[in-house]
Amino acid sequence: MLESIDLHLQDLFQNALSAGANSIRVRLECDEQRDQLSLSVEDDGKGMSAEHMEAVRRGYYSSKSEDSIGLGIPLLRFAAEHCDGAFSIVSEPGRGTTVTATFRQSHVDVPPLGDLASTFLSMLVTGEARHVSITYCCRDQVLNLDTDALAEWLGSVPLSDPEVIRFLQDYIGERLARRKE
Amino acid sequence: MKLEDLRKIRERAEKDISLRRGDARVNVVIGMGTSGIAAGARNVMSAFLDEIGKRDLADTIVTQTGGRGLASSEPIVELHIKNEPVVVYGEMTDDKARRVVAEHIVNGSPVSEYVIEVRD
Repeated sequence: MLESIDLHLQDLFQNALSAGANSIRVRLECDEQRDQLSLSVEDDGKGMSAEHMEAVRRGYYSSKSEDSIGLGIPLLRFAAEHCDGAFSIVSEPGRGTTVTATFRQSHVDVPPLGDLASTFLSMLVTGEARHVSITYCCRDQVLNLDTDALAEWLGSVPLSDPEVIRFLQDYIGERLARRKE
Repeated sequence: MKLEDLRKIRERAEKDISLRRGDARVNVVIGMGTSGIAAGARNVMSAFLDEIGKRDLADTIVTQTGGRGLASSEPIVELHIKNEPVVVYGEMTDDKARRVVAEHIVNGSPVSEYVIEVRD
């Protein structure tokens, strides 16, 4: 269902939004020496009780509300564990949730990274006034973007401004274009 | 390309701040629950953002929401235009999104073939 890393991140990001987060930190890193791909999404949203979290982790959770919060969690856990990685979810009611997944990078079934540029752009410009921070480091590509830092340059101009969207498309595209050896 | 370049955008924007201030006229709400994403909602969102950038639509914002309970019609997009009924589009794609921008957001006529619901 979610066949690439970008879509897993997008799903975790939406979970954080649905949890009412004011601040969301997204991280994706490749560590060649440890042969590990790791990702995490950390939010300060409403968090989950231990029972709720266990149900989400196992995929037994079905919300009666319209939100499909958490449906992607078991998919990510299975993908990570299948690729000799690990999955963890740490949450505290009222404090927030952190989801972390790792994969053995050389595993043949490791999901492709996908269209990270589109995912990162959408996280920055559709978050309304929320704080969003993105840390990405893979294959010689490095990207660090933080909406607080962007707001310092932009003043009262919102991140949803069309000119800002064009700028960020180019900025992210430039940093994610694979560097020639 | 440097982040400092954002300051130039700010300087230009602050000159015509009257155009950019205030609530957005159009809010494009995209269903980004797990099943929406699996059905391609992220690409639909990217298409809307790309068109907003290219067409310089300063009165339009894109937001995302969880699942909408209509999994068979995903990806789903709701178009909220001030003082108009909400128009819900289903089974959206990149191309359909670009058409909705051109015909509905810019020219004001909903693309009826893609509409699955209209509500006040």
